[in-house]
Amino acid sequence: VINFASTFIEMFSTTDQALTGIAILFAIGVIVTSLELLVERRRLWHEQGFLAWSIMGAGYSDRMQGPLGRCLNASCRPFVLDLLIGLRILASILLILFVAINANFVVPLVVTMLVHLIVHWRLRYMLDGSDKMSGLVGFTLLISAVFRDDHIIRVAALSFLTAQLTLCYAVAGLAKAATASWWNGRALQGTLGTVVFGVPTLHLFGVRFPMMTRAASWCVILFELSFPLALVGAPTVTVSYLIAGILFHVGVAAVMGFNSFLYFFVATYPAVCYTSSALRTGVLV
Amino acid sequence: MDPVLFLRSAVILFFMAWLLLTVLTQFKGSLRYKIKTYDVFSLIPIWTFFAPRPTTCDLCLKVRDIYPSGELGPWRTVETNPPRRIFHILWNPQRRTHFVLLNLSCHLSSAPGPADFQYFKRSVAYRAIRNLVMHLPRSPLASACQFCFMAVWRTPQGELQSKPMFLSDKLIVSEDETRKHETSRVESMSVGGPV
Repeated sequence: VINFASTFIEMFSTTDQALTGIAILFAIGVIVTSLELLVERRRLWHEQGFLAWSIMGAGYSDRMQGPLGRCLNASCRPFVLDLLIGLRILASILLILFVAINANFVVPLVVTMLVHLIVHWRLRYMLDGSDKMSGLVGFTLLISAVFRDDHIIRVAALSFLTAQLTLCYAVAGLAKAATASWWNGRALQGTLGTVVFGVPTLHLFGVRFPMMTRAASWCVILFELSFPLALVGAPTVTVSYLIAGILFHVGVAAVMGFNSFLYFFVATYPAVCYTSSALRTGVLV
Repeated sequence: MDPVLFLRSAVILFFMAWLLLTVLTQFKGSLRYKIKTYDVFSLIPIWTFFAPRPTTCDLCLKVRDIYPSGELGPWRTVETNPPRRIFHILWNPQRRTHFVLLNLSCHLSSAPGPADFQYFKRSVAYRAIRNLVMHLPRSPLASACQFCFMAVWRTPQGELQSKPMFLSDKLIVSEDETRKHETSRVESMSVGGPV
């Protein structure tokens, strides 16, 4: 187990290896979420959808002046947005190919992140935490790709992602720990009872065995609050936390349907491997 | 100053500023509000998922037709998020639509009074929901339609209970729109059977 953990951490022990891992996972996440958006385009941003431009753009008509304004206005039209998201898929595929041949992936990443900005501005009512994480990962990758020869900037980029992930888990854990309903399991039980974020069978199981929902809540709080140990612990501790994290996000996706968290949060895990390795050895490779 | 060093320092400062803004945004208050006002691309996250108070009830969008005689059609559920399936671990496009509905409904307070209803009816959120509802398939005989939000929750015994939260105005359907719906029978949104 110790050997496996050490080997796993070593896979991402240099900035190149960690950023490569992050780029591939990020690109896969972008491809899947972009395809999901295209599947739902009619209900989201086409004229018959919630976020039709005739509704959402009404307040911007006077501000859409000049070449840039007109360009932005055009990019918000349904079919242009379809094309842009299609372009983002293509750029993400290229990103994976560029990573595979060890080429600089600035161009596909610039395209991906430009579309990201347009989508985030245009479809802001649709965004969740995973979209915010995808923005953090994407722009950090972009900066590290632009300054490909500056080792310190690449280390800073990986440290930034690790800090954001640790902060994310810490804030989520603290907010839960400060609430009685999370400690006694009622919060989780209530969420499991919803049609949208729950599973009826699990809800009934939780009602029948309240100790189980309480234990699950405690595990989530403990995992989130103690995540910094993954950075300073031995390789086995780091790998255990990352496996627990993957299982946690798989569970959240399976029970609550938040699948994109799995892609974009796990995409930051190579940064955790790198940071923990650097902190342990004191060497910034 | 060495330009490389200057650029490096600038990038590191940028990362530090981004992290600091993220930390500051985690605290409720006017500072968070100010930061989020300028965060038009949603690059500064708030990380308190499902805490401190998680979602314990569902929001359900229902629509009904209104006929020229004043007769009301049955309420139908607009399916925005299907029950959980195992493939949702990797692929779950419909959650986006439901998330939009949840975010739009946030503009309505949890215990709304008459003033809140009026405020909501003037909001972009209301117009967005109305737009979707007006494009749903409906009876060609209907002269108007109406939508409502229902809060749905599960009792400890596993039974679903619901209560109405918001009832829209009567939305008049123009003849052009009715004709359009008769011909196209909009395939974009599935609508469940009578409730």
